[in-house]
Amino acid sequence: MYVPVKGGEEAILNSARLLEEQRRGDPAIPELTIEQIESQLRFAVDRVMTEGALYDRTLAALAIKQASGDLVEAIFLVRAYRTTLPRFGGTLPLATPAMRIARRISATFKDLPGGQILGASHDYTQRLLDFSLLQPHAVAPAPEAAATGTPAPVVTALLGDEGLIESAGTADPSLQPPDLTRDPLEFPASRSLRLQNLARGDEGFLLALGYSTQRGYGSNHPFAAEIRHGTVVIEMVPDELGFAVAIGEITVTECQMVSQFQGSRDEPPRFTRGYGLAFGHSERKAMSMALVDRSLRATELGESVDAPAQSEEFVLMHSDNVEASGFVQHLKLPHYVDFQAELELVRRMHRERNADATASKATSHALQDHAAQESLA
Amino acid sequence: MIATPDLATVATGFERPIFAAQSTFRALLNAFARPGTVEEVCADLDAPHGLDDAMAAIALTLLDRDASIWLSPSLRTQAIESFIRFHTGALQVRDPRDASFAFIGNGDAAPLLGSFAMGTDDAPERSTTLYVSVTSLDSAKTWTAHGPGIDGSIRLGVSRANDPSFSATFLAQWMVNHHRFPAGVDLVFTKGRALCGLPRSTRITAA
Repeated sequence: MYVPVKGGEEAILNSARLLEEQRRGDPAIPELTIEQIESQLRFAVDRVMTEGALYDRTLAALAIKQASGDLVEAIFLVRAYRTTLPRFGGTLPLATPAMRIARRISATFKDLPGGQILGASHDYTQRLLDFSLLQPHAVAPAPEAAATGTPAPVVTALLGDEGLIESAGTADPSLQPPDLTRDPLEFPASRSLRLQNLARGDEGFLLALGYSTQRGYGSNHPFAAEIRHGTVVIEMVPDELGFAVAIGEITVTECQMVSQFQGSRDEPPRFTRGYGLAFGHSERKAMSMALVDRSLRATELGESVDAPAQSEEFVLMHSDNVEASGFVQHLKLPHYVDFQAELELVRRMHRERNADATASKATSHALQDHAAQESLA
Repeated sequence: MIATPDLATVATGFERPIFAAQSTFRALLNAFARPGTVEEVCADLDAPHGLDDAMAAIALTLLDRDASIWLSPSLRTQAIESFIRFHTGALQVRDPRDASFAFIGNGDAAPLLGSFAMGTDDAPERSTTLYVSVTSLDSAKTWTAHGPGIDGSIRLGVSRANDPSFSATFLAQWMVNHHRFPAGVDLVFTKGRALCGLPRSTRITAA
């Protein structure tokens, strides 16, 4: 009989102290500052904000420091903190067409109004480890170009002007988007709810699913019509004023994918959309989200649902890494009684099996003896 | 149209919001756990004129932008509506069936229990919780209550100045509500800072 370990509380307290010591590491090495994380690990901060569903670079950096770089753990910290925050209201939809652009590219049109702005990206690097970074060194400022002020309309709007693409959705201002942090997720889920789920979803999971759609598991032949990253203004309408006021700015990355066109006898074929949006500079996430968004519209667009990325329940129930991590890691909690029951069952089955074996051995010996006697006789 | 709060005059609510909300929540929890007993809201607060302190405290503790509240006609004053709007952002509804909370002022006859949201068998929590202001929580104890949280039975009695037939008409409605279990409304009587809870699981009989 296995007995539960005693002295748990002391062990846990000591574990916390050891964790804190290890988090700090060697005291001779300078302590990591929040400013360093915010400014020099910006993609980690972006991911923690996006999947933590809370836009605050300092809090995300703090979570990363506290979690010693375990980003899923940091996301958990941010999510927990989010639940304590009171809500003052909802903002107006982000006006991404009016974004102050840092990077804007299109894979569908070479020349487009507002131009292709490469911005800072890993895309053009050779992916060779840069050993000069082993030592700190000064970085020369990059060249600057004057802002052109040329408007950069969203590419899909250009297609829309020609009637070649389905509309982006309803502009009915009375409709409130659902909130899956307030009401339980029920199926079938509206596209708004799916997009909320995907925006908070684990980047790795969505990347894999997006990749699967490209490899033929429910294929869409997608094109990246536009990816834009930059700063957008947040506006809300306070009750007392009755008009919109700007309350701040955030940086986001938006991806518009266009896919295989649909059509019917009554409707001309049009390109269909996939949409992705993430906090900070998160192209891989925004693109993956757009691929999966489009994939999950299979039923709505009359496509057969065969692939995992098309299954609403499969995707939406497993996209949240806080939930996933919780359930997977809960296996570390004591399951002593459950296991004891299993152990007893397996032991009993062994005993029964051995008893049968002994019995059948005895029977076969008896038969052999009998046969031997018969043959002697 | 809900009046725009005049920030100079809106009542200021809890003195110390965190502790006040916690103690009010505890009082309400105990009221539902021990039906028929009288609990007191002890928090320091500045309530709007016309609203029982207990009701104001409950509004500040439980209401937020996701909640909906139905106010009885005598409570639909500038002071009360703007208090709720400013401090909680709760949606003030006109149809009782849309309300998750209902405040019924002492100046109003209590509406029929059946006019509120009942919830459903698989979502019984979606019913309305009624808060009914009374003139007295310890008047002639004409009711006897039994049920979960009550050791044996408990006597109680309420009276409402502007609703003299309340005590008689309420019982029949309450038993109809009780038989809807798990659906049905829950109810709290309030008077000043005092509150007394009746969850739907409680049975009440006359005398």
